[in-house]
Amino acid sequence: MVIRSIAACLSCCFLVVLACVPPAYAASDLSEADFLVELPTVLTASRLSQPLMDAPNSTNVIDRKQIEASGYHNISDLFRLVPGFYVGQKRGWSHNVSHTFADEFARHIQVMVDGRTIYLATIGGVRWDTLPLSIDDIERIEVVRGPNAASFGANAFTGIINIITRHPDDVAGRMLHLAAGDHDHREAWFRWAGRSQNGSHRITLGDRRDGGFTYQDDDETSQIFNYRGDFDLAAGKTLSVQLGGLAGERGEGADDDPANLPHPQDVSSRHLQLDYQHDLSPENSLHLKFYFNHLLTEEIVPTALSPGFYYLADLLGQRLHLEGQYTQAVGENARTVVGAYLRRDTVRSYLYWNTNEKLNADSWGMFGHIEWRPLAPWLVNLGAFWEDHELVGQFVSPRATLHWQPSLNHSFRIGISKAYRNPVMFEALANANITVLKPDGSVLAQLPYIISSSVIKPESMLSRDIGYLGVWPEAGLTVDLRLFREQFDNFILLDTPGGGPHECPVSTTTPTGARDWCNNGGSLQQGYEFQLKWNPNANNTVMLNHADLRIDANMSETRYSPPQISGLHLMHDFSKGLDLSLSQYWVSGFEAIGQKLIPSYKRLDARLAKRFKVAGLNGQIALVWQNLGDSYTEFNSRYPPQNVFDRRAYVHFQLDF
Amino acid sequence: MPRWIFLCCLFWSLASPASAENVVHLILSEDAAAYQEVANSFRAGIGPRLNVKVWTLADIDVAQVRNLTGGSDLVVPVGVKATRFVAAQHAGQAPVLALMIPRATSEKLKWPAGMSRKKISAVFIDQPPERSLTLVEAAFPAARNVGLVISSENEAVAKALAREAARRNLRLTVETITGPEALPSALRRVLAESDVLLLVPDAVAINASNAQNVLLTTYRFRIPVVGFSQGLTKAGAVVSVYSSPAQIGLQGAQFAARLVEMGELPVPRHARESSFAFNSYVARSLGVVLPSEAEIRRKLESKND
Repeated sequence: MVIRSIAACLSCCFLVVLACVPPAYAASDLSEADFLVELPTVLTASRLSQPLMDAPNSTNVIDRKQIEASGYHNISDLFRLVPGFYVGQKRGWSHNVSHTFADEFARHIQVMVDGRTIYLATIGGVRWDTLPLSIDDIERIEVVRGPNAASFGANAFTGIINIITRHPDDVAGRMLHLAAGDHDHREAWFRWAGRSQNGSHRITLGDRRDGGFTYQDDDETSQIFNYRGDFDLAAGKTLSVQLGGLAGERGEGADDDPANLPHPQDVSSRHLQLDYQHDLSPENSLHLKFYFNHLLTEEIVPTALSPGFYYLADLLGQRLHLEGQYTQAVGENARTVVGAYLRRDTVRSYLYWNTNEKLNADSWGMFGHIEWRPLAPWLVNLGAFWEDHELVGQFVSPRATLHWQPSLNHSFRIGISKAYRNPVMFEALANANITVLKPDGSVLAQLPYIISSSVIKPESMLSRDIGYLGVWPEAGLTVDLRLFREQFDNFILLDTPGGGPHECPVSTTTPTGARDWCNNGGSLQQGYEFQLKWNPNANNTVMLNHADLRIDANMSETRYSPPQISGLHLMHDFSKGLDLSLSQYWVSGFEAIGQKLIPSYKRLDARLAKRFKVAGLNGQIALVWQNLGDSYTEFNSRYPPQNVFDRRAYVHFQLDF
Repeated sequence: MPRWIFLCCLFWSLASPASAENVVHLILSEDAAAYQEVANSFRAGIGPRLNVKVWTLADIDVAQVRNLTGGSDLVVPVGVKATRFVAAQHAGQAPVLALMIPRATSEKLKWPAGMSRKKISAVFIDQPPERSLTLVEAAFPAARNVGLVISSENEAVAKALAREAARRNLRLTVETITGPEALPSALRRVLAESDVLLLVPDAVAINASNAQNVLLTTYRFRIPVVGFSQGLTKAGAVVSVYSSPAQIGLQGAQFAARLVEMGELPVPRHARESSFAFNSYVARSLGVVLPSEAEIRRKLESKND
């Protein structure tokens, strides 16, 4: 009995021990199958972006390294790193990014986030301050200098900006980013990213405050939420979902502006975006995109007519967009993309359109382009964009480019393109009246402000350019040069009271005191843009940008963009996680559209950062200085200017945990 | 002895395999094309010196293997399954030359205690670290930082690569992972510091199920990948160096010839011959200018691999 139970016990133990001993083959599961296995093509023709050497326009990429080295907390400041771009600030929160056409509303560039346009259908331009996106969530920014409607749609006029956000897998974990600095600047960001069973997710929450310029009522507060989820539905099918929202307040008005005394503007923006990609084969794929944008600003504007007299300046803009795109690679030498879209823009503002009803403008269009290598060193890019827009009718934007690539490191390009900028709803259908209300809400008076008495045509441009991109990999050197000649016609302008022959003809139906939109005037722009990037070794980067612009305009504003803009950037990596970057800018004086003279200025920015590890967590602390030199002014429409940019310093603390 | 018995014995001895050097038994893990290619190339390489018999693992049983390994004929298992089977059932006598198996797996095999090291050898399917790094230098002359993600089992490979990298003035950034869940963050950390990502055979770090995620991540970071197989290059690695089944078979034949001449097998090693696979689409998209195959070979030869 005892012996039997001991035997049983021993055999039990033996079995347990056997179970615990790992099978002899578990040590390495590697076999020849891992070498011989057939893998599906992951980097298919449609996932591969066109190399810069082959691009039909001069294109710059602002990558993660440059974004961090810049130390900028405003996304708009990043465009100082691109040749020929002008970045200005009219109010603390009102940022302006333009290329060869500096105007307060910056209506001439198409701006997108992951292919979703954020250009305002209401009044044009971009409200950078209402973008619910953290700079830490930007992977890279592709900036195109010149027009390209065939690839980027309507209003890709003097340039295109496409901000590409970071994939949740690339920022997995939690991150905290705190910043504080001059002019009561405070920022707190928290991000979480991780995988669930069916996808990867990234959630970012932010709170920003800034006091704006010293002598202006232009402070801002914002609360931000941003979500991105990427899902692998099946082999070759992915879905990306983006959701974002921002709510906050902006300081508006000025003490010495009787029609616009200081007051807060409430802002609320949100968006939803869905991107579905289906790789049908390594050679072709289908991409469907849908997005919805919403931006509402509300203001009760006090006037100096009498205490308590005010008017409402609410503005709502929405966009619904649905698009399909099909990419096909034909052998090794050609790739074509074709697509179509539907869009509805909706606006509402009693101030701008004199009605409480929503107004819609629908459009639809088709686009296509082909990259084709007919014969060894030659590459042809042909594209066209056709749109039917309710406000302006139909038009076609064609583009043709020819590259000569004597080697894989050097590419010469010549191109011609016709592009249009549609009038925005405010330009096409304006019926703006300032309806002054008494304290009890009844109407005191209606003052005509801006109208559109004639049919507004789109602005048009014929662009011709010659480009060169050269790389010397062993020397770590890249040179990018663009020479251009652009003819603009049918500028959309507001007439100037008492204006000259090139202004809008004063219509007899225009109510007295109101300004009228019209198409009038044009200009010839010629110049060159240049960028040199040099990596002498792994620790150093030098970048030099220069742009020269000559404007020959037959309208009153003849110097509407700086004739010269230059930038010199140095990045140095000390060892032990310490790095320094310096940026020196030189911008010459000019007269922006509808502005007074803006004098030339110089500006030096710097950033010193140190990476560290604490309790096994990665962190970084950075000191950022903006404008180490004398104060200067950017956009202004008042004299003396109130938006004086002085020396600023900020501290940033970031922790991954 | 009656003369006819003597003649019969003579005929019998002439007709039957007289010694270990005359017959080779190839045992293929599978009946697939790659294994057949090894067999054909081995046969062509060995010529009339040896009589080659080809078996598939499915057709052979324990008794037959014990019988073969109990004799003196060379046994050549092709692939890991066949090699493991032979190792487990080895009767202790026959020399074994394993073909087309990874080095890491080969080194973990257990052979009968009494067998001489000179009777066991292998031709690996993977590449020596020197060859991988020479490829990195040749294809990416401007690169200074090479990234590597490896599981803890492959520490020896990482050490060998680190030694080689130091000799060539390249900085190797290595992340060691213990399991697949650690891969995404390790990969991101490595990519942030690298000009090029080197993939080495490692069941945890890179396999058929995670290859898509790895390659998409490297593309998002715009970092080119150097792979170790044709499959990886087709999937998206910019360039790979690998030894084809035919090249491995040929190397195996040379080893077998050595056994015939010297009575012992050479030390296990990789195949001397190698091939390259290029992905010109991905190279172009990343702005990588690949040198010609001839130029890469020249560099490989000059490093006296």
